[in-house]
Amino acid sequence: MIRLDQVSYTYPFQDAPAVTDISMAVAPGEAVLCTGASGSGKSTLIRLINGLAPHYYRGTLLGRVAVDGRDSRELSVGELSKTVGTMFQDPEHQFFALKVEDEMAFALECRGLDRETIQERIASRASDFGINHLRDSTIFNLSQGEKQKLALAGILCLDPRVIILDEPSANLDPESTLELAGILKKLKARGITLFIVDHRLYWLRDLVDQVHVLDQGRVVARGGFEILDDPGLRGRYGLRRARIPSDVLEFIPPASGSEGDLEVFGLTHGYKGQASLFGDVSFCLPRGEVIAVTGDNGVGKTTLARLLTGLLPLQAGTVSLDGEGLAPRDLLRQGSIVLQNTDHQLHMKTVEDELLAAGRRFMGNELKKKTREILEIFGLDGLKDRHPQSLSGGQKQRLVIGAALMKSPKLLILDEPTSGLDGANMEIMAHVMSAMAAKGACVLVITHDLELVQGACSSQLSLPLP
Amino acid sequence: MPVLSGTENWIQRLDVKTRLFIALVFSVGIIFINTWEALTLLAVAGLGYSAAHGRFKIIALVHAGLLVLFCLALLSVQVLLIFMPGLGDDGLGPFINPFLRTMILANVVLALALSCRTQELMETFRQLKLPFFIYLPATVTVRFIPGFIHDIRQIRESVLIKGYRLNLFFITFHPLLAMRLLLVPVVIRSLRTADELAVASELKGIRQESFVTSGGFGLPGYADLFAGVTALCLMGAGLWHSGVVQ
Repeated sequence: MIRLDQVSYTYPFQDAPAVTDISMAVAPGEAVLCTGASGSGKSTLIRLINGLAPHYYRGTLLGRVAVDGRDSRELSVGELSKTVGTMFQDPEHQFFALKVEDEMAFALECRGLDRETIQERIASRASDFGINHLRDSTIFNLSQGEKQKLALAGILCLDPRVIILDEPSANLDPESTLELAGILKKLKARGITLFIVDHRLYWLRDLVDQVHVLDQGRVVARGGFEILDDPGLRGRYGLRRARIPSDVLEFIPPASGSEGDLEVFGLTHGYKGQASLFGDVSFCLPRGEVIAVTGDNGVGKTTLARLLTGLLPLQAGTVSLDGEGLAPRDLLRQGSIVLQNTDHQLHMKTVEDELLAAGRRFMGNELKKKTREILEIFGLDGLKDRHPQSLSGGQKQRLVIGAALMKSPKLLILDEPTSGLDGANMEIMAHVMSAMAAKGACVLVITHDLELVQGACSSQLSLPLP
Repeated sequence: MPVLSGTENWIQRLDVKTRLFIALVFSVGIIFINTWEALTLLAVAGLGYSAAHGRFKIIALVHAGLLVLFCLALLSVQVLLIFMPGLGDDGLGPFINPFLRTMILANVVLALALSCRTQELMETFRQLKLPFFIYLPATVTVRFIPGFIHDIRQIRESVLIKGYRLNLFFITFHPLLAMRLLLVPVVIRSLRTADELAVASELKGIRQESFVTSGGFGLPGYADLFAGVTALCLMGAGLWHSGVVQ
């Protein structure tokens, strides 16, 4: 179904190829996992299969990429899209319409299907993914996990024969990840070919037939899923764990309040026209700990983070730190939050300037020392003169977290900090969070990443709150 | 169909062709109208039209931005008048008119962007027999606006997180920093969004030869007739006041 013969591809204005001498063959109904550290060429492989490279990105393609026996050079991206459906790492990138139902209908309407068929397919896929209740919502109001479900449902509406999934589990809660694995198994049984690129590996054990490990644009290991059980291989290529112990989900609830903790009392919040997310809830978050905020997609984790940092006003209730009630402005001053989309959070000319601006409440040598420390901790010292927007996804993520740390916040909230990060970068994050907590900060991490939870968190706040 | 709001309003009940017609009439008409009184009338009408969405925050934000630009321009003019007093001989009109035109355009385009389904818009452009190389970029442009508004919200949040308060005081005393805080992510996001939309349209298989399913959006009715005639009357009054038509 997919065949790559000695494929090398170089992007325009680049000297080195992004992938070199890649060969693989994937039969109909097979599931292939392609993994490797950030920048190893996984996304380029996806673009080669769906035709974006070289049709959209141009560049130089050597060798042959064939989908369903036809050379991808001879087909347009639109023609290839009839066979190949692609789900992006950030699903918002692939939405063209603004409402959930419109988005699911869009590509079907562009293919001229009749209205009844479109409605039937939408109803069936929405029900498969449990997003029926969201059909009237706008895409901007969805959580990341819901966006991911919508993207996949939209692709399946088109009945493709090959589905490419780029980091499909990155924003899904563990339950939804298992659901996804179940759905993919059914698709595979129907003869649909799956090409999966993911850093998170554990959920793919019973699904994939072939694994290809990429490093610096080359396939360095291939075989069945069991090759990922080799810790040496994982360590060498910065891969994540292939197995997550099941007891990882069983965490104690945060301890009851004591001096210096972050106390939330009578928190109430709901969006206009929607059911209340928090109705008079109270809890206490201990300082000096990394607390995982968990819960199903769309349960209100990011909203809670916004409320605790003063980005959203409390409809009722109080937040206090060190026994002192805090207004929204004080919350923003004492706390720091790192949101998911890093593009919006980088403003300055260089990486160093970004950190200096974030830590401007410190002066002179103290500020310089702090900046140097952060650059070093996050492995950004070699990039300090680069423009922040020119960094890779993982580097940007590290920089925005570094900038948040420059404030030395008493409360640090990270929203899915390891989404799309490889094993090595994830470990840096886990280390930094633990170090912040050790300094006495209350670190809240909204995450579905079981490895991060296991590696860094000591307790969990599970939503919805009683 | 509501796009960003949860309920349907009267603009969304209008046929897409009517909404396009209103946008076209206003956009072309204001080129010829040169009196500030007529432009003010149209600006108020445009404001009422876009306000029918109930998206008051967005509208207020857009107008606040325009007001800041207007104030800065007037300030610059005041400085120029000290050295070139002859510039003021024609009164305020020449200075106000560009802003009134921008305001009118912003309102009619905002109303269009917030009220249209992407499919409806594409289908309408096709029905109007516009060539592919015009209707696809036009659809993408209109689709871009809600995404842009969403980006602005997130950028505002990130600026707040960094501890900056983007009020008039801050903008006045730190204009370069304010520009950097707002413009860098806006430019980067705009470029990225444009690229993402292009990739999305490619992968959705939108092509010149695509046969788009008819939306069954209904035929223009009395409300469309009323809205179209009102737009024409307003424009006629404006042109008459400017002396373009007698």
